[in-house]
Amino acid sequence: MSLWADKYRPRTLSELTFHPRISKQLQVMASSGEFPHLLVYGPPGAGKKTRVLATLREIYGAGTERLRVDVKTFNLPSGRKLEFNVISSSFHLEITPSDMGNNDRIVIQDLLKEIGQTESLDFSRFENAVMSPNTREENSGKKKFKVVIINEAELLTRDAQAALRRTMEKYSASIRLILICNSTSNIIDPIKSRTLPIRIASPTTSACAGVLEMILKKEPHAKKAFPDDNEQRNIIFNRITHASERNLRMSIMMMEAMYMNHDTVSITTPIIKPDWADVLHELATGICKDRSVSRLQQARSILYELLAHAIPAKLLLKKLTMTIWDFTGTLDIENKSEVRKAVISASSIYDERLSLGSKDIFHLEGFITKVMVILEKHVIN
Amino acid sequence: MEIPITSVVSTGGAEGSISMSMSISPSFVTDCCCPPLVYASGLILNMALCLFASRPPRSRKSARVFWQGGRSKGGYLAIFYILTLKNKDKKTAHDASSSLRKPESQETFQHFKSKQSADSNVIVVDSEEDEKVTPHRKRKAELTESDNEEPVKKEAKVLPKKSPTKTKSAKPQAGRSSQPSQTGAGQTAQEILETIPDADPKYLEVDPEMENMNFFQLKARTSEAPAPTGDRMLPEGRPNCLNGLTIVFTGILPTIDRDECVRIASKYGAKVTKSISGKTSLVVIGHEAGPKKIKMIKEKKIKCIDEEGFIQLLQKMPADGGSGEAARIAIAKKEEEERKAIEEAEKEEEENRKRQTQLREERASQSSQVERPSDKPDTEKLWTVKYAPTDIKQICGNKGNVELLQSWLEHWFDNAKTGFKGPGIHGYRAVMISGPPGIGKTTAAHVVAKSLGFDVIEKNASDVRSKKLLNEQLRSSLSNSSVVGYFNQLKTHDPNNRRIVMIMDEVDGMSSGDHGGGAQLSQFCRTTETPLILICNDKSLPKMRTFDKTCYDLTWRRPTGKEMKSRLMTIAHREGLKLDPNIIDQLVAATNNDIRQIINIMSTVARTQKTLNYENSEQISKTWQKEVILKPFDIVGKLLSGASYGSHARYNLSEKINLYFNDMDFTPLMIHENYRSTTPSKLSGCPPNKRNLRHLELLEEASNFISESDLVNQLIRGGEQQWSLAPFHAILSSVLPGSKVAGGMNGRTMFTSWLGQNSKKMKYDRILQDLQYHSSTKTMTNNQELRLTYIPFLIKMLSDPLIKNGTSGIDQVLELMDEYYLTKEDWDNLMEFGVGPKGRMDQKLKSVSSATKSAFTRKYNSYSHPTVIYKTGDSVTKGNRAPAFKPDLDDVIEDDTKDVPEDEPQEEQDDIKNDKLIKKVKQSTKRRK
Repeated sequence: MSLWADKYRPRTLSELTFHPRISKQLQVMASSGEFPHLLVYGPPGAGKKTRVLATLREIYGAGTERLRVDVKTFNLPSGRKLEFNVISSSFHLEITPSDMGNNDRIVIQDLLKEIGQTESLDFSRFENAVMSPNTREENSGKKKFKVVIINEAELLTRDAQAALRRTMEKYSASIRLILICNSTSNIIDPIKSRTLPIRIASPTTSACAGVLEMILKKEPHAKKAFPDDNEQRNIIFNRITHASERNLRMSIMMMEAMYMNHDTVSITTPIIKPDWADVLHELATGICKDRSVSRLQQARSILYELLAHAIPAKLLLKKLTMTIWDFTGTLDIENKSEVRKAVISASSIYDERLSLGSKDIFHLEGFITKVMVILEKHVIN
Repeated sequence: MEIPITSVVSTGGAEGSISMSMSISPSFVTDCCCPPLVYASGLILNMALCLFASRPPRSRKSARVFWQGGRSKGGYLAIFYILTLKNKDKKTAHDASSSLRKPESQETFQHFKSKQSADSNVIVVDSEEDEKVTPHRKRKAELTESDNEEPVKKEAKVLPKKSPTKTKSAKPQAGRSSQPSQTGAGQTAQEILETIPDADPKYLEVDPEMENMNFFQLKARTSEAPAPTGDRMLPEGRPNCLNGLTIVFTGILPTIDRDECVRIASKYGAKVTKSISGKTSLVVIGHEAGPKKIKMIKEKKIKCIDEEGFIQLLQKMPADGGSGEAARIAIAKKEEEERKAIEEAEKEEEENRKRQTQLREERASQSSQVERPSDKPDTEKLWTVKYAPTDIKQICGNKGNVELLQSWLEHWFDNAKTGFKGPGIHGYRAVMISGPPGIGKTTAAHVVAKSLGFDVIEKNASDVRSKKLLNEQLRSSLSNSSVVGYFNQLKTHDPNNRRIVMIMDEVDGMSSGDHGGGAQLSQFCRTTETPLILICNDKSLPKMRTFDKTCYDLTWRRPTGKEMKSRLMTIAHREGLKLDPNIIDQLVAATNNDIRQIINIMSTVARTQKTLNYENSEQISKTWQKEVILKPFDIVGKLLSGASYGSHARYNLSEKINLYFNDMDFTPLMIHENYRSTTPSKLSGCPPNKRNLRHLELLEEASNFISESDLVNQLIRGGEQQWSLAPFHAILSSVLPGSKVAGGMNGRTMFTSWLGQNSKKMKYDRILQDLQYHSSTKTMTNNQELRLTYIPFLIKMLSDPLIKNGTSGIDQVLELMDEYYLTKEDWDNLMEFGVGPKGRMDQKLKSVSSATKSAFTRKYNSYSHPTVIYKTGDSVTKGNRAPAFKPDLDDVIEDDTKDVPEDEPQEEQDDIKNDKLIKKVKQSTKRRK
């Protein structure tokens, strides 16, 4: 029994429910045989990977779903050996070079060259000839290349991206790249210009609700736990979507968790958020309410805990900013818009520093202290 | 009583110059300095002055005293009869000797003369000739006299009126304000003190708030208080004017830095202590004085003066601390020390000479021409070698340990017979001496061995000491006896002579090159047939732990200044270096009680200078002090202390930057850890309702700098390697934040938590990566999304059934785990990912009974699980989620399109494994359902 998010993941382009235009485009591309390099970007939980995999299936057929994980070994110039995991089917490879940190360039150079220099043998022509001699030969054309999916492309170092740009042209006969990332801001222009950018936006609230509804339909047990009334169900769906910030994956998870924890779900049932989100929310409201030095000390230990448990610092900063933004609405403040402006400006400064620096805690603490000062100055007691 | 006079008068050279030289024999000094002998001895100093010289005399070399007067007239002979009647004043005698010793003593002589007259106990009988000193000479004499400090003259005038008995009756506790004065003249320290007004009583009021404070709070409070303005110079006092006084400084003086005061006071011969006792002569008090000290002052009624008073004291006190008994005792003590040192020096020289002659004789008899390094003349040796202790008595400090070591070595072979059953040290075959460098560990071991007539085999870090070599070399020597000693024994019949003691020096220096040496050595410690002395610096190192059980531990402490004093004086005397005893403590502090370094400093100084006194010692100790690297805690303490900033900062900017460079890795981290735990001095004067905001603002500025410093740090340590930015980083990361928040620390300085948190983060990143590798074929997501969305829910799904349903929930959990290719290890790791009070799993999992847990583990181990990746090698299996609705044709294609030839054999394997796994899962599923 997998989680619903995986169980009901669409496998083909036709199964996809939202962004029909993009699905259509992909379908056309897949069937035409003229497949460009892709740069797929969008927020998490919008269905980037799902769409990409569905496209691959459209090109190669179900063989793309036979996945295996290989460990590749790379030799660094320093003599160290690096092990690197590659998920692959016979038609494509999926790599996450950012796993290797600063050594991602070597992965890009070695691995892509290796794949690019080996032409895939195509027996389909003979098969087709044997099986159905009358079939046109155009089908074979699309299997001449292998697809390489590069995850977390925005985390690629400059060096790795530079290594990528020439490879993309040189081996374009044998490989196609699909870069997947959350934002293109970190991707260098030469790569952007060599790829077809496809933005996958978060599903709308109604699209989200549609997916959730569809899942419930397929889970008759769960459907019983939810209210029969369409209106009420929609309210619950909306609440879930709002809490997950239209992250579809998160929405499905939340719904499943609600169902697991409560025998009957009503519109008042509390939404189960991930633990880190709760901790973060508490931290942010604490900062707004109690602006003192001792609170700062507490904040440090909470931040350390979150950071150590692999919650990305940038996400922390973003969520903190949003929560504080919301909270300023409830506070009695002299000049609300000024305060909000100041908070956002501080947030963007420290966001940049998070990118440039290496010690996340320094910057997060700097932001929190700054926010405290801003609020303390303006709040009327 | 014989009057020792050694005077040589040589007159008339070929050139017609008359020169006279005079010296006082050492025996004279010795005699004079012995109180009983000196008592009635009359001393006649026969001095001849050569006042006639048309050209520089040639006999300069032999002359210890040489006065050269005017050129015009004939020579006069000046003879001074200086009689020390009834008095014990050795100082006089000594001064005479020491000043006469110097070639350029015209001034000194004059000084000496005035000193004589200043002291009531000395009668100066000038010979008639003295009156006839040439005008030139006279003028000069007058000049010097007028140069002399005023009070000397005054006292000289006062002197005749004063009867010696009165001086005698001065109480030993000079300086105690409660003691009524008996002499009205005002030249004892005590009388001068009387004239100085008491400190403002407000200093003695204890702030009731302070009484209940602990040490850290008090410290915080004092560092909060305004630092001394430092715009006032202390006046120059007369040499040694605070002799015999014991002074305590407490609180913060309004204008002068306390450390400066302490330095000045000890420069003038005062004993500066930290706590008040019965012996304390006076207290110099400032504001924020400790409540304990104030209580003591009141209890003991000790004279208490303020800064103003201290300055007055410096101005008023006569040279050498006046004529009070305490001063005299102090002088006597000092002289005693000097005398001893000189005595010691003479003795050593004597011995040395004897040894040299003996050696020469031996060599002559052996007629061998080979020169040994030990025969090198002393001048070529390092001082530390030249003056290395040759006798147990010469070792400074650690007397108890040395004796213990000696008795252990002495009885070693007796103990060996009884199988080392003795108590304490006698129960061990080996001894481990540990302690910081430069305090005489090796020396002590050698000297002890030598004193007992043992032969020494020494191995130090310069020898390879691997297990193999130790086995080969040591084992054989450990059960041997000395050949040299054997032949010596024939002569001396001392059984010890044939014995060997093995000294393993620098044991903690046994590095990776000495593979297995440490363990082997500790083995030897158990079984050795020869006494084994091991020496190391740091016993607490993990690699030294093997010796804990096998060796008796002797910890060497740093010798105190007191313990080193006489030894250093001896050396200084032998080298003709004039060492002011007052500065030894300063040198000791500068070098961190490293006697070897002090001797090195002395030898360096001796190359260029003849004296080591307060003025140049300060400079010397400053240059040497820099060598001591501060610990991160001290650095942060200094950078975050209020006194380090502001207009009267203790350190200037470059000194603060240097503080950072003491440990440039840790300082920024430690500053970050502690910058919020101060009470900034900038808050003082802030109205209470604004205080919080002001504090937050200061912290905001500081945190902003710290955050910016990280960017600079990235430029330095990142790809750009711009190390020239390091000083800038120092400013941004440490000095600027410090300047904002500097003040009293609340609580202790904490060690940085960033390191621990960072390694924790690395650990969880690694775990997350593993989880992602395992589950990626199923979740189709990256690390971050796995962490943010999957993990919180997976934790719930994988733990709730066990918590709620116990054993019956196991199947559900295992099914989900297999679905995501998670192992039991992954399960354990997952559970650690919970954050926050609600998310943390350790408490929740406690409610799972141990029966359920073990059942879970058993069940997990009972069958094999689908694996997407084997961590160990490159053998990899496919996932088992091949959908059934695809025609077989695709399979064929897939296999055939595997075009990489090297994949071929793997492919076969894969198939086998794959089948197996699919089968198994299916089986287990069946079983479960």
